[in-house]
Amino acid sequence: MDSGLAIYVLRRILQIPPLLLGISLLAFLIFYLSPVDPVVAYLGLTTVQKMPPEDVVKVEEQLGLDKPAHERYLLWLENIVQGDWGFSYIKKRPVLDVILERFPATLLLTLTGYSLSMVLGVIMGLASAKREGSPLDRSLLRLNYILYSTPTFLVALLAMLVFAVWLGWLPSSRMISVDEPVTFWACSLDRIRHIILPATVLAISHLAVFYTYIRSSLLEAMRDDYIITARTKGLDERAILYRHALRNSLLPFVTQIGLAIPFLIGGSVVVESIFAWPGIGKLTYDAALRADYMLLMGMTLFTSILVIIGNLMADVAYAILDPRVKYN
Amino acid sequence: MESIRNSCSGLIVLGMLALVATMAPLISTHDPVKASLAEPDQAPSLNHLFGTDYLGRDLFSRVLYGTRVSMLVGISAAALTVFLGLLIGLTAGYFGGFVDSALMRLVDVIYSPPETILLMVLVTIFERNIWSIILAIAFTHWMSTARLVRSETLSIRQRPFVESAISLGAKDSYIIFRHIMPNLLYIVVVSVTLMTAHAILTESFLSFLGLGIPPHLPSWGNMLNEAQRDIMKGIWWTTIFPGTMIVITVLSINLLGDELKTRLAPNREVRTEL
Repeated sequence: MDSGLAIYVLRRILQIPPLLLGISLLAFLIFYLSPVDPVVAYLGLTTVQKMPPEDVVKVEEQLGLDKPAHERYLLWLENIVQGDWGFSYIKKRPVLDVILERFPATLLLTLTGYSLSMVLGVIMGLASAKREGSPLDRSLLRLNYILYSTPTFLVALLAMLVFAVWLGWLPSSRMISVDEPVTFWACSLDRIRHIILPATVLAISHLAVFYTYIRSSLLEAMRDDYIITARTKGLDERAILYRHALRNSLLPFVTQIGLAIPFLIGGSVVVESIFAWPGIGKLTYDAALRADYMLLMGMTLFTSILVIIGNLMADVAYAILDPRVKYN
Repeated sequence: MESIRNSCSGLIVLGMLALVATMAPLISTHDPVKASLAEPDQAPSLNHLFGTDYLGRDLFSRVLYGTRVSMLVGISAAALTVFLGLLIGLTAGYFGGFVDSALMRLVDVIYSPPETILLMVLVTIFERNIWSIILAIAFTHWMSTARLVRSETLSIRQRPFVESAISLGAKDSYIIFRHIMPNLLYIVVVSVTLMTAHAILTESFLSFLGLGIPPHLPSWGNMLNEAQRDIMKGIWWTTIFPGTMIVITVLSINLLGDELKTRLAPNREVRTEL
């Protein structure tokens, strides 16, 4: 690694702590400035109205609401540094424990969906780029446009209706069956059957972005000088497309992985809520429904960290892969 | 040619939707909120064109009224988003210095959490009504417009006609409104159009999760939220009709927005930013 790159990476890493501090302040301020009374959000309006006032004060003290804003913020930061990230009301456990416990399920679902999306995107992109403007290319473009305008939850509902209810091929919710099979093979098959629908829906939700990217970068590569050289050497079109153009368009594509993180998290909220997949997307949804502030603040910070790491990786990967990039 | 044909059909569909939204009381065949417990879960028929939901409400009328909610939320949220982005981007780009770096750090901070997470956090803290949804959408989306407006303002500021205006002693407000704003108009037009489509998707997503428009209002997202329970019974019409309306609406706005983008954006870099 040359020193220019090292300095660039170091400078990018040094920018992260102030950014994280900013995000934590944002998350805290949103809840602090909220017009909704946290006690009401926590216990429900009818319960609070029936409670004697001194009990309400007691709950406020328990939630730390009696302290001034800066003390509450510092207390939260202290919790973060100590590694428990505050206390989740709905789970009755430390926030970070809950998030880390649910994270592997999301990781499994997202990675499966993302890989599937990438494979589909490359296949469709190649089919399109083989002949620009062909009927196949034009119908793929149209399909892509419709996909781009379709909300993920609609795809999920339709997939569930067709494959789980009408055809009955696949289970419609959860990660494993209620009566989980005992043998290893039956158990693995059960898990695979459960992941197919949510992963495919997640893949479809991200397909439009991938396909557009692959198609345009393939078409751009096909106009480059080295392709013309390959043609004049008499290479056949297949070899040119697969060996020269595809390889060069996939390289910058690798950097897209880091940038896709926010969309994948967004998609996982929808997909996990619909298919009752026990990941962090479902967790956020449950927290939002029951106004679990600590958990929501923790999720904001946690997902921001993932996004920041993704952006950093994308930039560094790009800088390493493309020697023309200037570090500034 | 094809793109022109596409954007024209987009425009026609949008015109029809606007007509449907304004004339909803005249076109609808039933009261959209009146439950009729005698006829729940009816399949589409001549009496109920799109069938009925689990409370026996007429889906056709509900879908028509849903157009109003989606259009209102989509257009207001888009306008507010772009207004915020324009205001902040202009301030940062024109005045530069400390103001600029402070505002751009703010953009970095709000950009960091995934949009969906920030949206869910925001709707939790507000009381649920149409305006809080619009505010939440605007708060989570103004940053990209702000960045683009800022960089465009920076480059316009350095052009000779602005420099000569400054040297002639023109006031800031004069330069901003006479020289800079007109050159940013295309960003406003394209962003508002594309943002409307995105805001409609966002609203339907939030309502679908039960975190958006209050449940008594017939919005497409709310209808799909209720349709979830029907899926398991194999009832398709409560999902298909509101779902198709979302896709058609968003698709035609996107077609229009993309055509505007190719026509109005001066170069490729700006086009990918928009």
